Amino acid sequence: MIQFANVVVYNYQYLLDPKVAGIISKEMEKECVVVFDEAHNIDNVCIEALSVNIRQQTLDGATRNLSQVTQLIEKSKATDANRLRQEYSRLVEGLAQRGNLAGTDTWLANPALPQDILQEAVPGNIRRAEHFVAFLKRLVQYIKNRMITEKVESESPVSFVTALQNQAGIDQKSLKFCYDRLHSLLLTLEVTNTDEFMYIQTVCDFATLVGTYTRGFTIIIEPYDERMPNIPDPVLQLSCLDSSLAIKPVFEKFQSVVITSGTLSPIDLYPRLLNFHPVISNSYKMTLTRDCLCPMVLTRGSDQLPVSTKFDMRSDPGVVRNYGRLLLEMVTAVPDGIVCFFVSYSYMDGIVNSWNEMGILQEVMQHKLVFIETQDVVETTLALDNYRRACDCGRGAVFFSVARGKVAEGIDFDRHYGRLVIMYGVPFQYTLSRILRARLEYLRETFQIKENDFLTFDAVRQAAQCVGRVIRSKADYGMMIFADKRYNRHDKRSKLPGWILSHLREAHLNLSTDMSVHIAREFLRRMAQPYDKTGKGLNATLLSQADLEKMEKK
Amino acid sequence: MSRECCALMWRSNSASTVSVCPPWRGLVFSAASSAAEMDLRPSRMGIVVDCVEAFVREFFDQNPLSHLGVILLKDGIAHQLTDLSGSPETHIRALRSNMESTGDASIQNGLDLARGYLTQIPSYGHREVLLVYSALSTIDPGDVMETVQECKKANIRCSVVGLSAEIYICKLLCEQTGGMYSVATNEGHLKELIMEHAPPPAAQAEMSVASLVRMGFPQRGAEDAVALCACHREVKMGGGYTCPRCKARVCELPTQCHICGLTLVSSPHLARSYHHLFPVSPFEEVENLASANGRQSLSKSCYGCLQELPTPGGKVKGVRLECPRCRQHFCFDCDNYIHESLHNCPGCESNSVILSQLSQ
Repeated sequence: MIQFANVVVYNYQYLLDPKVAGIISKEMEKECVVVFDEAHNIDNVCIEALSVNIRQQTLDGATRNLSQVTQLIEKSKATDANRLRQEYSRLVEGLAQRGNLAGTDTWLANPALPQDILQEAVPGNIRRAEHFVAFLKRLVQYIKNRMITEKVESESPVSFVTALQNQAGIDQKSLKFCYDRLHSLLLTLEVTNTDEFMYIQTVCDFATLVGTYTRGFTIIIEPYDERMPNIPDPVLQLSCLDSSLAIKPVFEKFQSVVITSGTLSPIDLYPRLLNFHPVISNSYKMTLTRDCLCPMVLTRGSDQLPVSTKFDMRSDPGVVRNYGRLLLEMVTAVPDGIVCFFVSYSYMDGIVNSWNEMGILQEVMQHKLVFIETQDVVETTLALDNYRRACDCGRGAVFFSVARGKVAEGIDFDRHYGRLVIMYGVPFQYTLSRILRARLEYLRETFQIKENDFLTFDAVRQAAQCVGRVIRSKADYGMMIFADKRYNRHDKRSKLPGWILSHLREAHLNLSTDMSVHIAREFLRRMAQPYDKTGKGLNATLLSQADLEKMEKK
Repeated sequence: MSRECCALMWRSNSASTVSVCPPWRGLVFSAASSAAEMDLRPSRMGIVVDCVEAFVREFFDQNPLSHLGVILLKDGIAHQLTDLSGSPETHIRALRSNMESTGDASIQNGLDLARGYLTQIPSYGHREVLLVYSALSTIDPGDVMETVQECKKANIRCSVVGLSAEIYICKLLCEQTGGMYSVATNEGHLKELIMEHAPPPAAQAEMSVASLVRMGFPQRGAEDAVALCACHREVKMGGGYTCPRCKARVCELPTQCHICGLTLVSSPHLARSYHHLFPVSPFEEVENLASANGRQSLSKSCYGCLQELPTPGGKVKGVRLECPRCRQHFCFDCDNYIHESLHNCPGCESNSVILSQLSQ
């Protein structure tokens, strides 16, 4: 079907994740134009496409799968030994893959990139089905042993493979073929309930990636989650550190690739992260008939005390009260819907609790209803639905959400659903996570990108993404408040996208709560006046035929 | 012809609205003001009452045959402040005496109350509600969307003048019922916006059902006549008007006779209503002075004031405007005066006079 279509729209994973791209996008021609829309998170998507996590359940499931496979082999040997023999001879002749796959076998696609798959004969020690199963059992046992550890271990794939060879006698070349061999075996055995074999597939993914790549990956074994040290939860993470790996085949195969987004800032960081040289790198401003954005940077409360979500200031009751008063004053000045973003679920829980104890939450509820996002999808959907209903019928509502949550990524709060968005704090990632630290180190060594720069870039990009939920059309209007004293500093402010910066006037920086309320009231009154949607003269936003012809001549 | 408008006003600690409900025909408008908010000096309630008072006087000036009622929104409930009546003094008195604001505002309650009164009005009356709203939200007992749909079905045109910011539900209300939504930026602007609603809207032909309305044209009594006044129930000296049907005495016009219910008006009142229904057509500018109409030369002076008009090759600057019916030329000032105050074109009036004179 794909080869007949003129335009194909699908997820990034279908093009970037080798597991699916090999099947779905194989038939795309070179002359295609590939456009990555909303690509501000593309480096994260590339990394996730090549990363594998293995937990205790995975290994238990893999063991189960292996015994199932053994049974199937025995059964098939008894009924039709021919099939297995044919497979063996095919492997000897060097057909590592079986050729065109049926459309339903998407889960069996190879995790490594196409050019990295060896086009060679499968090594002798795993050609026979029983030998291969034994090989996998040894691998699973080794991984289980590695995961029994008291402290965090981190090593490169090379050393892991070396240790594997010394202790379990598994060589690197066989590891590379793990995935294909499993695929071919399951096809031969005519397995139909592919969901059950997901665990062993994960282990084979891991094995193939570890065997294929030497650079740009790291293996981290953590015995427990640092935030909950008492619960043993060992996890082995093969994390890709280099986001350019997954997107390289796209750049090489297709003639034109366009990466675009509303919050792609700073724009020169992306070519470095994805390791390519852009032919054109341009940043466009929005043409608006009237100033329908009002971004503000709020650094202190009405009592002139600075506010921030910095770790040491977070639980200061003065800061909490100031944040609460900000919300309360805004609720009395702004109609319809208000959205608030917090830096994490735990922070949101803590601050909402404190507001409840101080009585601020009750006062807010007198003016508007309050809805909150939780980690449960169904609850959040229900909350969103009722929030919209409250805004529609004039009651007004406030929505509490988290900066890296599902709502911030996907839901729009346009028109009266979002007249004001408050970003409480700077949404940094969890900086003590080992994977993040490994990635930062890799970036520093390979691309000379400073750790602080990258962290700030990531945080500000997330904040801009949250805040951009509010404006969705030229006729829409909304206000944005960045409520943290760190936003006033040039290194953070300069990373905001151009369309926000162009509306961020000097008079709107370094505000306190009462000043921002005053600006808000005035802005709302101004925006409620009737205006000419097409704009005339300087503010022309609709081009006529004559305008287009004039532009063409130039 | 006459307009029924409901004004909703209610009071609350944050918003106080005044609404006027006409039981018969009337102008109802509501004003909401937040007395707690001092962003409009001296206080929102004070400013709103001042504007509304000016509006009431202007309204009766422009629509002498209409009725007005006031509804107040207070503590989440709608109170009827004054009945639908044709006398501005009652409304102003009631407004001035009720100036505190407490509680929340509920658009649904106000609209329901207004609708209840306005639906009793016969179909040739034009029904309107003007809502002066200063709160940012509405606390309703039920679904406000249903109320909006019912107002639309009952042909009630609702307009809103907001004092704080644009609220979605008000915008929806105005769009659905064909009204106007505006938000005031300061005191002067607020007065302008409220006064904009005083003159009646353009006649909607499809809504008016032709029917005959019975009216009385009372005579004014002599200065020394003594009679029992029907509206105040006390003896009054001099002046007053006598209802032609039941001979009761009323103090002011236009009004409804308290005894027999006949609408009492005087001819200027009727003429004034007529002016708004059938306005003078806009004058066209005479573009090409050079090419004079062959049959006659251009008149040198304005038909209305006899001042000099610009001619080709002449020294006088300005524009020359022509009435499309009688083809007379007027100057800019006369055009202004004719369209805004006089509501009659002198050329058209004299044309018929001349023709009738000639025919005699």
